[in-house]
Amino acid sequence: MQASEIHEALRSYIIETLLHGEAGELDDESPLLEWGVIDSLAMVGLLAFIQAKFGVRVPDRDVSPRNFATIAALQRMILRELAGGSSHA
Amino acid sequence: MRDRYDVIIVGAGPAGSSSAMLLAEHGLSVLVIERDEFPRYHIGESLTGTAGDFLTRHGFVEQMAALDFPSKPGVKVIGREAKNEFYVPVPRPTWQVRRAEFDDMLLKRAISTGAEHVRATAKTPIVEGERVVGVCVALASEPSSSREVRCSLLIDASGQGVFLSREDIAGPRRVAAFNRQIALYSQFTGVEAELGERANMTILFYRDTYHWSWMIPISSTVTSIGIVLPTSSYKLRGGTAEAAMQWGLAELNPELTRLTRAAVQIEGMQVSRNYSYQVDPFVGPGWLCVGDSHCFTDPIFSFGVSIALIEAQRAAATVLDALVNPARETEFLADYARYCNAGQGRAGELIRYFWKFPAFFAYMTRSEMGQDLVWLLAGDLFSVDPLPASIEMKRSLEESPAIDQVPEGRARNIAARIYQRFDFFQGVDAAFLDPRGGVIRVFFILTEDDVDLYDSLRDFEEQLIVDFGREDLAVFSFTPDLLDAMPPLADTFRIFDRRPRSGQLGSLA
Repeated sequence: MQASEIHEALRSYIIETLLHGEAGELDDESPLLEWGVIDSLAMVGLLAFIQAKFGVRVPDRDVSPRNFATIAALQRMILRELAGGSSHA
Repeated sequence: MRDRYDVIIVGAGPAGSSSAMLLAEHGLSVLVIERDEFPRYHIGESLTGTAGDFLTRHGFVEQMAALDFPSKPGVKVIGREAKNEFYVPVPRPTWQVRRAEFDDMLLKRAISTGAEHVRATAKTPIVEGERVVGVCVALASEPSSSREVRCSLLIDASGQGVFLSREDIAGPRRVAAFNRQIALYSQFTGVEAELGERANMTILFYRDTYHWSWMIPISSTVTSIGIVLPTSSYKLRGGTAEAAMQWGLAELNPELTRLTRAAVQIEGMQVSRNYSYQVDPFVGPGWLCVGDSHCFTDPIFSFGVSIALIEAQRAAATVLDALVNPARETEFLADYARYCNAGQGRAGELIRYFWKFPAFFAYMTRSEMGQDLVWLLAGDLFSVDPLPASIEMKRSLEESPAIDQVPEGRARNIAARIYQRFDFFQGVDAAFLDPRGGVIRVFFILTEDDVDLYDSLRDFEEQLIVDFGREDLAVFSFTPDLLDAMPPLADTFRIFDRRPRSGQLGSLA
């Protein structure tokens, strides 16, 4: 899967599901955690989405704020998992 | 009271009394100075597994039962709107306590072990050259008198009174990230009790960042309940302890409301404000600080008494070493300080991670690092090597792509310091750094115009100057009404920016 497809799918999911369709000023570096976009329930949903959409089961050690901070960070993590799941966050 | 002791201890809380007991066990002459008449009220009613270990090892189990202190099986955290929760068991036996009786029990044990106790106020330390050699005290029985008592080593266990810091022997009391909090608490009967194997657990109720509540059963009928709020939020709720408690019980969390439907408050309100601080240095020639007298972070995980007991054990060992081998005192004290800093540092990281990343904290309790959290919450904070969970938390708190963009060297170090200190500090919404022209300019955007906040910022600026030098460093703060006067920030480095965004993102944040 291409990086651009991952990017587009993630962005759409976040806008549709977590922001209720309102993109606002959301960009790749928007601080999702500081903005309160990802709470406990949103995180569970996002992990399920990543597994369903990209076939990536994010291992526990990668469920870290560093990997969920921005759309860019999420995208890098998914690419890394697809490339063989090396764990450095 | 004699004129001279091996060790004088200022304060008879858990840090002071347990240090006294341990030193008296080794045959040293020990004087404990305590201002208040015991038993006396004190907050901090929940112990961790590590504290339980200490009490078990020193033969307190029967007394704990006789005092009707409930056994504490674990801690439950209930999330916003009570939609989710997690439970962390305590891996070893421990208790919930009423501090008046608990602290009295420890002091009595120290006395029966051979320590001498006097009701008196420590006035000033006696200093000869660089060394603290004793203390001037005013006895409670003759408050206008002043007597000199000498010692080989002085332990400051004065708690939030921070005796040696106030006397300019230890470093200044620096406020920390949780400073702008207010806690109000009281005791209740009629709280709906949990039955079964989780009976008498601590329950923490979470609303949103820095709004939380504790519920701690402290006897078979009485429960301690506390509401914690940022000071700004407290003002909004009417600005009195009674109003804030009423608001908290009704609005903070539906499960708290449900459990307290039939609750009756049986004590007056107690209030603590701005309680988070650190003192550094906290050891020196002839003296050392134990427990709250050098550091207090945030009460959420009930580390206070446990850290006091752990530090007291280390302090007692350090004092024994230093008395046997006075030539190496400096080295022993430095070891003690490192030990305390490591443990207090991990406690601080655990707490900051919980507040900054609550969803990840909750996830971690169920992940492969869940067992690490069980140990950390049990008070195992002082191990030589950090647990994987501690390493992960530290990295997550320290690393930021925004910091990596700042030019390496002094500018980046300052940016990192600001990020770690203020990234989620109450009252500071954003920070920018401009290193152009060889001068480092720091811009803070504040949430509100508030005197306490200025104190915190001035304090932080002083620390920056101490650590990075006064030259070519300037700090500017802008309250919302002054934003127009702020220079353009477009070409500066954003350290963090939590100001609400336009539209729906603002309402989500």
